[in-house]
Amino acid sequence: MAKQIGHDDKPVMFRKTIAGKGSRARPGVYSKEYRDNFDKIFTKEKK
Amino acid sequence: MAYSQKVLDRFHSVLDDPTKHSVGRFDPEDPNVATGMTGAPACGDVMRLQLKLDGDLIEDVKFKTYGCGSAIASSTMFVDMLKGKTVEQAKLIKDKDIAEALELPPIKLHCSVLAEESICKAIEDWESKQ
Repeated sequence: MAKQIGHDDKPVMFRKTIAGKGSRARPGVYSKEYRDNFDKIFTKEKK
Repeated sequence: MAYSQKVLDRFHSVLDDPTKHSVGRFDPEDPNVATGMTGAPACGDVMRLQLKLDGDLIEDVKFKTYGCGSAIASSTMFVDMLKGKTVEQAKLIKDKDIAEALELPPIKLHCSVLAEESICKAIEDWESKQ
């Protein structure tokens, strides 16, 4: 449930946030899992 | 950092029906197909964009993106903007057009840059095939 701050005449609501990773590198960007996913998407795709 | 509703709508729409949103590939050996692939060093996102051309008219577009919701939403937005355009018109589409259309926050602007770089690479590839 959203939390209200302020007062009834001028309420300020915090909406539910769907957050991403921003501009930070994806965790494990140089990991085997990353490379495997990369291969699945770009290299070993069905023709 | 929150995704805008436009990004969320596009991202979910792609997940629901990837084919409708031109996810896929053309044969890169096809002389009428141009391919551009770029990666964003900032975060590890990668986009491959392929144009199918008739002369200098972009008949069809396909893409694959390994990235976050903003990167995928930016890719599909670019695809929609490219279809039916000429190469010269495509060159005029800039990352800020996508960023504005999707209301990308500053921290996600590199996603729209990735899309613009992909089309630049694809056009370079097409011009090299001529």
